[in-house]
Amino acid sequence: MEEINKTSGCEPIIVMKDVTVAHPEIPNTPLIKSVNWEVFCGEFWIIGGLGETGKTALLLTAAGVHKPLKGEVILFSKNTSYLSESELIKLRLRIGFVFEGSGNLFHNLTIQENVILPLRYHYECDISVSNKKANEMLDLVGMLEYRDKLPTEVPKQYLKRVALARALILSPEVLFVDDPLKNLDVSQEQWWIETLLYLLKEFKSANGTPLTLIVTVSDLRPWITYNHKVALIHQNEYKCLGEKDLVYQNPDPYLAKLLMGTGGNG
Amino acid sequence: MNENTENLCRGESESRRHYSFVALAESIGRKVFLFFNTVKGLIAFTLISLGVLIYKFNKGSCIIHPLIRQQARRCGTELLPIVIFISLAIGFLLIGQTIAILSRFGVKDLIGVLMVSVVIRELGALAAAFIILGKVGTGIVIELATSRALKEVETLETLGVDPVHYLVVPRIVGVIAGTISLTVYLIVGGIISGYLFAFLQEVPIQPLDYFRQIADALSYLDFAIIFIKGAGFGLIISITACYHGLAKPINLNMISKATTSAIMQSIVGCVILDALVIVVYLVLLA
Repeated sequence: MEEINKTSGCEPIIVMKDVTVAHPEIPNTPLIKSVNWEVFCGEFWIIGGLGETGKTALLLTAAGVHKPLKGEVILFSKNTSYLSESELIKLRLRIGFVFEGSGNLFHNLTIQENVILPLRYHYECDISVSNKKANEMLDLVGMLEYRDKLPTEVPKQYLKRVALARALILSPEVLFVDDPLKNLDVSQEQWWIETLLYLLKEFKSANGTPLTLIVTVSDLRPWITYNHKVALIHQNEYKCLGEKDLVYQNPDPYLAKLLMGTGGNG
Repeated sequence: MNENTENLCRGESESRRHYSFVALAESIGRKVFLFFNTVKGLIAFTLISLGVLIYKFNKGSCIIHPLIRQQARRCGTELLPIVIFISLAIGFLLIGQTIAILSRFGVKDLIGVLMVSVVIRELGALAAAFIILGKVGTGIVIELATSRALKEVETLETLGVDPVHYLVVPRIVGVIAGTISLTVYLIVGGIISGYLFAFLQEVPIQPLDYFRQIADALSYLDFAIIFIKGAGFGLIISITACYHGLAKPINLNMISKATTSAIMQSIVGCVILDALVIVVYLVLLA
């Protein structure tokens, strides 16, 4: 896929050059060093790593939410170090983010209010238009029946689906999904894999470009049969491994551990 | 041998004294440093919040304005029962008794001046501020610290929503509006209940005389003081509470300490502002 992008002259939508990812809790402490990574439009990346290796911090840095300690993050051809807050916000509208766990929903808002929040905040859409769009998204993730409920009234396993609907409502170009299969039962796992692959194939961003999908995982086994590129985080280092067929034929010991499902949760 | 032991003991006691002096100096130095650090943080947070309030006043109005109304309701109408209770208490404990004493000494003419200086200039705004601090200020610290611990701040950032705009601005505006309105309610309630208690004690003063004295003692500066103090106390309480809840990374077990710090700093801030306003008022009068 990279070859296709490069030959067609397409620029990468995310570039990380010698980036040091900062620890989210301890200021000025490096968490992952020397991240060199290029993501092109329409690609599907899987980033593997054990628990507490900094997968979320890497995604937040790549999304321009956290500032790197060192290096450059270039989002949609713009260096985030030189952008003002308002320019950064414009870029963030082109990115969808689904957090791990319960998806970080706002517990004082209903499911529908959670989903329409970014739409109404940025575009001040009429409530009927926003609700219609929210209902489409909730229908897509199979959560329409819960729209008037508070997150505390919804089964925990379904909350991340609402976070997915919220991330998709602005029709982003890139979707970051942080450990989507963590603490889910098998049927839910299958739903997530099928839905993400469907989005990758069918979803069109506001600009009409195909969706770029970046997913972090702590267990690579459920993803092994699907086409994607692989990167790993291990011992504070980021390793960009490339196409999965090449990688899985002769995996390094750490990758083998993740393939055997002994990566644990995280 | 004995001399050696004596010297050793003297040396030990001197080194212990030296050590305790160093520890004391270190402890004072740390507290002073922490104090200036907190003041610096609070000033920076205030400037950022006011900047966002002005710069993004109309941004996301369909989301932010309902939040402002919700906070104003929380600091205003929802606190009315306790405000009525406190204004009755002020009327009974303070004003009713004062009127009775003044009447006993035949200086009824001073009632208006006393009411204006005690209730309108001082007690009203301060009592309203303390009610809001106890009921809403503590709630704000807990809510925001929980939001931060649950990573809601990061979530807002990923959605392109400014966390200060979404979480802080509605609380600042709501608390300021609430403090000003509660101050007015408290003053009105205190004045009316004060007369009622005086009336019950059979103090010979007509309602018309009572209210005319108050009206005569009032000046435009007093209305300005009500507004400045209400807005100032509201700003201090909301900023301090939001700062302690939001500005620093926090764990769930640190919330109680952050709440205590916010309460103490708000009280100190309100008292300092109160003193400053009165000093300026006296200077203007002179």
